[in-house]
Amino acid sequence: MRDLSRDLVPIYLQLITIFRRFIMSGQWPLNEQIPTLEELSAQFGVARATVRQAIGFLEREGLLARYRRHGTFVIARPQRDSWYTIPTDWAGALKAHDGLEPEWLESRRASPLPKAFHPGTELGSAYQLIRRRYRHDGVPFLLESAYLDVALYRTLGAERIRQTPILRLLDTTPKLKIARAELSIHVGTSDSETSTELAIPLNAPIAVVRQSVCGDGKAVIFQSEGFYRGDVVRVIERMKVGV
Amino acid sequence: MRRPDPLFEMSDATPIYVQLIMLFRQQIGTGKWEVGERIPVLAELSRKFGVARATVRQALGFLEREGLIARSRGRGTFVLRKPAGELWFDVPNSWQELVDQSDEIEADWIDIDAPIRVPDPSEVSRAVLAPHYFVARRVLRRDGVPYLIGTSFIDQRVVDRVGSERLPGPSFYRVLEQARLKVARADQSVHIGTADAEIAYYLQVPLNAPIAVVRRWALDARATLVYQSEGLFRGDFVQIRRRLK
Repeated sequence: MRDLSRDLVPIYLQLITIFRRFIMSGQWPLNEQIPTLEELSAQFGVARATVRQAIGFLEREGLLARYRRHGTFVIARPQRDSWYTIPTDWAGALKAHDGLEPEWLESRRASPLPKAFHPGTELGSAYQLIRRRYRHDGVPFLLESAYLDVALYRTLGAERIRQTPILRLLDTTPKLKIARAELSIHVGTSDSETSTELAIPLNAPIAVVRQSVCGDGKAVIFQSEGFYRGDVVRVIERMKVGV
Repeated sequence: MRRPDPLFEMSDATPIYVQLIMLFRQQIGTGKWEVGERIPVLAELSRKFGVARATVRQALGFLEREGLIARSRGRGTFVLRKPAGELWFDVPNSWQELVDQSDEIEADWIDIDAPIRVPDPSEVSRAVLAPHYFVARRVLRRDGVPYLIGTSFIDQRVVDRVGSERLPGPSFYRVLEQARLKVARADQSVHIGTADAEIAYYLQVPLNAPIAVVRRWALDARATLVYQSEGLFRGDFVQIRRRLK
């Protein structure tokens, strides 16, 4: 086991983070007894009083309960029941905004132009920037900046863009050719603007999701960058197997 | 009176020196602090961000241990290289890519000092547990930088077919292939978490730094759960890229 004393954070605080993971992951199963103070003290090489301090904290949090002579038990497992799944295929991406509550922040000519999000794609000369915030179960969880080719923006019209997700508009526009569409997801931390808009602490983990759609050739007709609260999003995929 | 940079508000949720580490890594990563150049002096950084000098020193010490900067007495602090976090590790969605991708791995085995439970397979419907699992925990490195803590559970019968002495070498996916295991179904999930004290230590990241949690399950044709894994990646090291169309 690592030497916890080398870190600058108090040891009992470090133990809390580890024990909480054991409970969340089911390593310490619900309704079962956790290892004794002596065992944990030996495993982590720390004083029993320090282990007791960490356990006491999780007891007050309602995750553990100590019963005299019976030991300490896991009595609750914090569960997240409102996950939002980020789709990673085209059919899913078309429906990605269904059930979300959008809030219009601004719409203006993009200046300066953003960079192209994906290698091998190139930006045109003018884009409309549409910034929206989305809520999921009432909680703000996505801040999105969408860049739409200005000519397309005029063709589609502001009203339709308000009503219908842009990807779906592109997908259903007659004679509009889509040569390629890409998606990338990164893990990041929120800056002060994102923190304010999503009501999360500065440096909280976020998922950064970028999409780009090319018309004929390399030219980007649409690209978007979404900052999601990291603690509510996930990706689930059936993997390709066999040949 | 300190007048902190209005662009950089400190939050209460994360220790200030951790926020500084993230910010300084960003300065280096984006090239605002260029490789080979000297960074602003302690007093200046302390004034700019409205924090104590000792806190700035603590953050710089972390980056020095990470090998990004070097302090040279009398001459100042210099940027040595950009954070390795710019080298993305791709999470593929095909089993064969996993097998092919991970041949050149550097790994340290972690002693498992407490029994590890086989995770609940309920997330995969109708999966049947194998009688025994071989369990391994490893830290994987690239260019010497640890980027992943992987815990894998492999059906013991599969391991017996190739011999457990073969395991320390190649990736486990290659081992499964060598055991002529036919994977009939595989699923993966990715979510975002934060590094607890143990993870922070192994991945050499600050406490509460973002991590990506990648879980995989593989079933054979009889729906036996032959492989299960949980990978904890440095958040700044991993990406998912998909062609949508």
